[in-house]
Amino acid sequence: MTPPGQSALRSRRIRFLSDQAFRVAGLAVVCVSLIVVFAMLGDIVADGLHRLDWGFLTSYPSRKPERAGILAAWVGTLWLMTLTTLIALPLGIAAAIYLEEYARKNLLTAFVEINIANLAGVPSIIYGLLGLGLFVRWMALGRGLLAGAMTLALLVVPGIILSTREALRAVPYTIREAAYALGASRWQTIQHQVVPAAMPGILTGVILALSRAAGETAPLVAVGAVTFITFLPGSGFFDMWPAMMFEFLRDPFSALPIQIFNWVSRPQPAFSVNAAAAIIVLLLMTFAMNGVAVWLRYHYRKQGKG
Amino acid sequence: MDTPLQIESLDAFYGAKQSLKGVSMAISAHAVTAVIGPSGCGKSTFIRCLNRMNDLVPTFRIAGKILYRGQDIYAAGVDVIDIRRQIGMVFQKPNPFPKSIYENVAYGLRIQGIRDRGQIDATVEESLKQAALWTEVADRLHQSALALSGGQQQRLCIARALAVAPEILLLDEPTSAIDPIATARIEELLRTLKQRYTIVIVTHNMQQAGRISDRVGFFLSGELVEFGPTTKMFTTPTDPRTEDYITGRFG
Repeated sequence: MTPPGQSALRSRRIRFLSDQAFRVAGLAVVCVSLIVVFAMLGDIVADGLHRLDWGFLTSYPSRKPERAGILAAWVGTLWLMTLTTLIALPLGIAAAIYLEEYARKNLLTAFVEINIANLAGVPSIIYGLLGLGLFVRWMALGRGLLAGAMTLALLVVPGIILSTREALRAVPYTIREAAYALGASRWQTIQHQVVPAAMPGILTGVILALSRAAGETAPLVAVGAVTFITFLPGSGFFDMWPAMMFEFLRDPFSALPIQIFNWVSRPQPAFSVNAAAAIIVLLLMTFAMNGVAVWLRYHYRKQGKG
Repeated sequence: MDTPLQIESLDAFYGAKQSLKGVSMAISAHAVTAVIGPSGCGKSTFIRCLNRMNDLVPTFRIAGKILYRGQDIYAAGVDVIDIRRQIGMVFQKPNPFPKSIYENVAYGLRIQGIRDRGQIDATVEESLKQAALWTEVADRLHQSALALSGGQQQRLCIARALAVAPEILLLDEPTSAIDPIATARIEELLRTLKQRYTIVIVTHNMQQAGRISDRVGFFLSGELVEFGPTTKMFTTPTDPRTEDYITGRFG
């Protein structure tokens, strides 16, 4: 073997240097984003953690910052998430199954697909205004829980459709063939084989979409969430049972992001502390949802591989 | 001779492209019929016509007839699900469901609405025994099928196909993704299975066709060039193209 020539050595050196340069740049970018996240978290925890106690979680809002709590807000957020899931999950998954497994590929479905992708990118305030016009006014649902949840459902459905389709598409075609060859109908194949195989992907997408929605403020402001209520949505559930039990869906509601937004816009510094404490609760809720997504993924993967 | 499956001047098209031209063939009962030919000769298309797996391809259409026990399987009003229960299929790559070994074999029964636990247990055991897999998996039926080796997975796919008690078993290059030792086991298995089932196998491997089949059909560019008893095809083929392919002059 002859030793490499002068120019070969130089190009090798340049390749090595550019490789190193990219590595350093990449590491720097990762570090910057990590530092930003941890600085934010640290700042919030430093501001708010001492305010976080049982009383804060179980008190209604108040004009006096030291007596104010987030009971109505976190219960409202919990209700919103539950109702949004109940509405958005079946809609989104059914639409995705139809588009991925049944729809013929033609101009109409191409048009529908492009617009679902577009919808996923529409700013959330626009969904809020749509919810205000459609649910609050036209359907006369009032500025209640149901209108809020339906608005959030509209917001997350495109994302759920997209991630569910992605998950369905990742199921190998050979699995479908195997089911068809045993005499399974199309619906049996989808129901028994394709959807279960896609389940980890579907659930991950759904939960990530929902945890984003949990922090949405703009659409709830538009629909008319309130910050000062002194009763819990759903508290009338059993009083009015059974004839009017769903009347509570029209109850005015609050939500954590709304409460936070309200507190940070007040001049008294004590309210900023309250906001920081509420942010910690909101973050914990979304982290918990993401944690569930991770756990489900792990659980299903273990089940599949054995 | 009993010929449960008769193919009469079959043409097949993907869109405008014709991939089978006037294929006529009679499949004998309780025998292994091998389909050989170079890549792209239409042998896979052919075998996938026999249980209407090509129905899933939107632009696919056929002309001609495929008679199963005298009934044209492409006639209007024929339930494709009935056809596939009678004519099972095993594919090129092992494709077990991402479920337990037991559930893989039981699935064909479950979709027929069979719920009797005892009957399902018995069929699962019987099918795994027929596929020569029972002794290897009897103590781990409820573990994932994906943990099995490639060769075991393919025998599981055979067991799964047998569980619905088909009359005919189609195999589309079943050993092309499997190592030689596992291949030998499957070949041995097919020789046993032909006593109970009618087998059609597509293979890329001429030696394999020679080892396991009773009759061989040689396809070239969508046409059935020659079809006859295996020994005759390999010793005194009629068509010069068959001889060229078999002696390795092309392909």
